[in-house]
Amino acid sequence: ELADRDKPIQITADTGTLDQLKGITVWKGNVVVVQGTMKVNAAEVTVTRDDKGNQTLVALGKPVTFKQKVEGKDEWIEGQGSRLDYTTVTNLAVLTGNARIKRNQDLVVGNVITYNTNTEQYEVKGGSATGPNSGRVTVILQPTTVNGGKNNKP
Amino acid sequence: MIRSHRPFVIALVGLMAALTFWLDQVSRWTPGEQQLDPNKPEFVAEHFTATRFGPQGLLLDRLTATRMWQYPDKHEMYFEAPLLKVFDNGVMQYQIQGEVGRYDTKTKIALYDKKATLFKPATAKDPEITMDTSALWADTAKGLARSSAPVTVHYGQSVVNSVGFSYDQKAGLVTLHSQAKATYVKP
Repeated sequence: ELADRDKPIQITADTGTLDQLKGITVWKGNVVVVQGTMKVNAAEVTVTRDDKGNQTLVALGKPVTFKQKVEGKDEWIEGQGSRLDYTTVTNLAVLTGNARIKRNQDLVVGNVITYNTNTEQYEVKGGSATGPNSGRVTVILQPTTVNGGKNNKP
Repeated sequence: MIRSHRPFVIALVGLMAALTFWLDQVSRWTPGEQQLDPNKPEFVAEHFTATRFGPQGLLLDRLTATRMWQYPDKHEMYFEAPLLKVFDNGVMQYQIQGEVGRYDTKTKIALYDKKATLFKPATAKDPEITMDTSALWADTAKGLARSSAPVTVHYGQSVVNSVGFSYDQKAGLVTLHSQAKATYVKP
């Protein structure tokens, strides 16, 4: 949700290291990051803070998972990948490595997925031809019935 | 030897022995050195302030306490309500306050056995930082501090908790040993 970005960021982990001079914090072991409705689970998270207080978060995991509620709807966007880069300046979450994003029954799979938490739009790239899925992307969109509901009949 | 002189000679020898023993004892005796009870303080100071200055006469550190005492032949000094302030170029860098504390004058290690609070004033770049724990070890010479007890750090409006931490003041590095949790509020 849009209001997420103004909420406090809560991080829990096994260990943490704060480098005051560089403004870098590294969290390791069962790392959970929560900001409003957004939640990230990872093995390791590095948070960098610039002088203006903007944060850049790099999460690594097997996989990293994240989910966030859709603005004004009772729907969730869920994503996963080997790595997640998120910055509060552009509000972009970039999933890299076996990346996938799911919203309701719609599914997008690719090598790199860039998700804009503002506009809730995402862009997917396949990666190199020699890479997984031969560099192709997969998008599965569920048909929408006439009244706008999802056609869930088998 | 004529019999009648023998007692006199013996007495003379005895007197000489006693005199020698007495002189030996006196020459070894140094003022102030007495057998002190090792379990009772040799020195006690009440409500005191100790200040250390650097080469240019600028403040290096200042220690105040309601009571300080030291046991005979021991390097450790014991304090009640110690407050240590550390300065750099006359500007306070941080302070550590405790309920009770010990300081080893030889190793420069300070131990705060009960409640300990470290306070770092705000700088142009960082907000005010306070750290509360129930036991703290500090190497005042190297600017290191650590604890294995639960600790709470307030960093501006943000709060960090963990069990056990270590702090390297010169490197500006804080390490949270376990059960680390942070709630970061944008300034």
